[in-house]
Amino acid sequence: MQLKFLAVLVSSAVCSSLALAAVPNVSEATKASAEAINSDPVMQKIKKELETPEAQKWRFNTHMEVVRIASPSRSELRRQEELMRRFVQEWGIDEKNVMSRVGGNLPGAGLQKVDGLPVYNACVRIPGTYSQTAGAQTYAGQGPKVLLEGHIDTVNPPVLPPKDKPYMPIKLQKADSPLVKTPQELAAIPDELHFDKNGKIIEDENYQKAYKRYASLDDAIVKGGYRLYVPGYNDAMINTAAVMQIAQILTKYKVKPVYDLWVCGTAGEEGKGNLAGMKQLYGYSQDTGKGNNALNFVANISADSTRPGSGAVNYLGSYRFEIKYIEPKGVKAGAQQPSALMAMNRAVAAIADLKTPYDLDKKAERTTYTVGVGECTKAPEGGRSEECTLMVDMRSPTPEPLLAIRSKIEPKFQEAMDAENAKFGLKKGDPKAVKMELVWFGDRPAHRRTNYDDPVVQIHWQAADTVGIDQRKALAEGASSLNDNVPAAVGVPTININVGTPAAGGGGHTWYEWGIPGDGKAEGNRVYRMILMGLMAAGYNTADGKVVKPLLDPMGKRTTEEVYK
Amino acid sequence: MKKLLLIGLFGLCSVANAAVFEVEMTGPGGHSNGNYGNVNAVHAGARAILALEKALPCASAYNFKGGATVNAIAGDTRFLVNTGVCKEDAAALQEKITAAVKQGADEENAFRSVKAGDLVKGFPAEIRFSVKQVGK
Repeated sequence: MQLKFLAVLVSSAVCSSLALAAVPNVSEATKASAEAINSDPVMQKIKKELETPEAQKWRFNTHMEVVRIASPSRSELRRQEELMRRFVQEWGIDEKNVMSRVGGNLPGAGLQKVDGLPVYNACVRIPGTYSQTAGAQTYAGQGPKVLLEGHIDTVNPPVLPPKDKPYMPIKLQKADSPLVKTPQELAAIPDELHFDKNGKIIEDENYQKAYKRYASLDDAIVKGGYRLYVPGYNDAMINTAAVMQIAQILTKYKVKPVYDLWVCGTAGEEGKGNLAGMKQLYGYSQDTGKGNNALNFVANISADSTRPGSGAVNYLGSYRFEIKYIEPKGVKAGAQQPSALMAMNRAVAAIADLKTPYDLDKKAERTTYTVGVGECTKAPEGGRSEECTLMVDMRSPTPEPLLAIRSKIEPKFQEAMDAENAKFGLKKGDPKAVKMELVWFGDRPAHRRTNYDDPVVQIHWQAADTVGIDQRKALAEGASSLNDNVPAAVGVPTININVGTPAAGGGGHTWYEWGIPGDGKAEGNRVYRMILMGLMAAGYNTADGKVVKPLLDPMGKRTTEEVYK
Repeated sequence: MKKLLLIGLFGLCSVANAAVFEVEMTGPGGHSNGNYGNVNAVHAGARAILALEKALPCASAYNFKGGATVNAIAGDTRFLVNTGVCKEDAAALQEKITAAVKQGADEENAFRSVKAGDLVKGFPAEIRFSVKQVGK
C-alpha cells in the first residue's frame, strides 16, 4: 500500500488542506498484463463491438426484459430460470458450461442452502486452459476460477407474485414531470413498455420514447426524454444485464482465459437475501463465520454501483435481526391482555428514538440503523393479530461502532415484551403473556482492507488507465455493504465497480425506483473494462498463441477446510 | 328483569356506535444506509400506535403491516383500529385517532428534522398519513 498526500484545493488559492488518500502501487507485471491483453486483436474487436448501437441496444433490451420479472430476495427462481434459458438458447453458451442448476443447486460448491432455502444463482463458465498445463494445481479437484457477478434479486416487490402475474410494469413518464407520489399515481400512468408472449420487448412507439440515451437528467429534460419506473432498474439489473453481456460476448468470440472465468447473476444480495448467492459460491457458513471456498475462486469482481468510477474496496458490516412477538391464540379485540402488536411497536418506537454517534456528529463513523419491516398476522374477525414480526438492520464500517449500536438495539426487543406484559401485571412465562423469539439473524462481516496493493485493486486501477475510462486520483475508502463482504471475509481479493450507466435515477429500494438510459458508448467501455479485469486476474490466451499469465496464484484463500451442506 | 334487559340493550347500542378505521402512513423510503436520515414509515407507525394507546385506550390496533425488506427504510405502513369497546361516536373516534397518528408522524418528522414541504430527491420528505373509517 502506498499512501500519498494529495493536495486538495479547497477554495481558490487562498486555502488548501491535505487529504490522506490511498493510491495503489501497480506492478510492472500488472501493467504488462493489461497491455498484452488489451492489444490483442480479438479483444479490440470485442471493445469495438461493445460500443456499437447494436450492443448498447442488447444491454437495454436485456435489462428491460429481465428486470420486469419480479425477483424478491430468496425467490429469484423466475429471473434465474429466464437467464439460464437465455444462456443456452440465445447466447450460444454450451450447456456443459452452465454451472448452476434450476432449483438452486450449484455442483461443487461447499455449501448449498442458506437459511434452509435454495439459492437461485445463475452461473456460466468461460472455460480456461489451465487444467491442460503440466503441474496444474487444484484445490480438492477444483481448478482456479475468477468470478464476475451482478445480483439478480430486487427489493420490490417484497413477495413473489402469483405465477400468472410474474411481471412488473415498466412505466414511462416525461423526465420533466414531478416524481409520482403514490403507487396509485404510478399505476395510473398510461404509457408503459410492451412485450410479446415470449418476453421480448416490442419496439413500438413507447419503446422509441423509452430507448433514448442521455448524458444527464437535465439533458433528458431538455430533449423531452422519459423516466422509466421499475423496481430493480438501477439496483442492480442495469449492472447485471451488462455483466450478462460479458458471458454472451466472450462466448461469441471464443475467448480463452487461462483460469476459468465464471459469470454469475447472484441471488440474495438484498435484505433477507443474507448474501445467500455469495455464501453458496464461497461456501461461507454463517454459523461458523468461515468459508471453505470449495470452488477455488482466486479473485472476485462485482458490479453493483451506478456511480461511474466507483470502486468499493471496504465493506460495511451489518447485523440484522428478525424478532417475532407471539400472544396466545383467540384473544378478542379490546381484551385487557398483553398484545403482540403492542410489544412489537414498543420495540420499534424505542429503537426509532436511538441516536448513533453519526446522528450526533457527521464526522463520526457512519453508523446507521433502520426497522425495515414491521408486520402482523391477519386478525380473525373480532380478534387480534396473534404474531407480529420486526426486522431491523444496523451497519457500520468497523466492528466497534457496529457492536455499540447492536448493544443499544438488542435489549429493546426484550424490554418491549417485558413492558407490555408488565402493563397487565404479568411476567414472561405466564400463559397470558406475550412471548418473543429470534426468527433470523443476519451477519455481513465487516472488512477493511489493510493492503491497497493487492492484485485485484491493482487490476482495477490499471484497467481504468488502459481502457481510458473512470480513472481516479485516489481510491474511495468509504465502506459499503455488498456481495463482496463474503469473498473479503474468506480472504479472496474483491472489488465492486460500476458498469451499467444510467443518465439519472432514484428511488432505490422503493416501489418508485426509476432510471433513464445513459451514455451507451461509455457503458460499453465499462463492460470491456470488467472483461479486461477478469482476464488480467485469470490470464489470457492471445490470438497468436501467447499466454498472458494470471496475476493471481492458483490456490484461492479460505478460512476453513470444512465442507457445509 | 326489564331493567336488566334495558342495560343489555344499552350495552349493545354503545358497541354498535363503534367503527373500524384504516390508518395509512407513507414516507420516501430508501436504502437503509445510502438514504439514512430519511423518515421511516414503520418508525412513524410505532410512534402513532403508542400515542393511540394513551389517547384512546379502548382502541385496539391490528393487521399492522409496513416496509418491504430489512435493508430498506420503510416507505409505507398500514394498520386497522378496532374501536369495538369504545364509547365515543365515530366522529369523535376519528378525531382522536387522527390526532394520535398525526402525533406519530410529527414525532418521526421532527426526529429526522424534516419539515412540511421538504423534498428528498424530488419526493416528499415527510411522513404523510390518512385515517378513514372502513367499517362498523
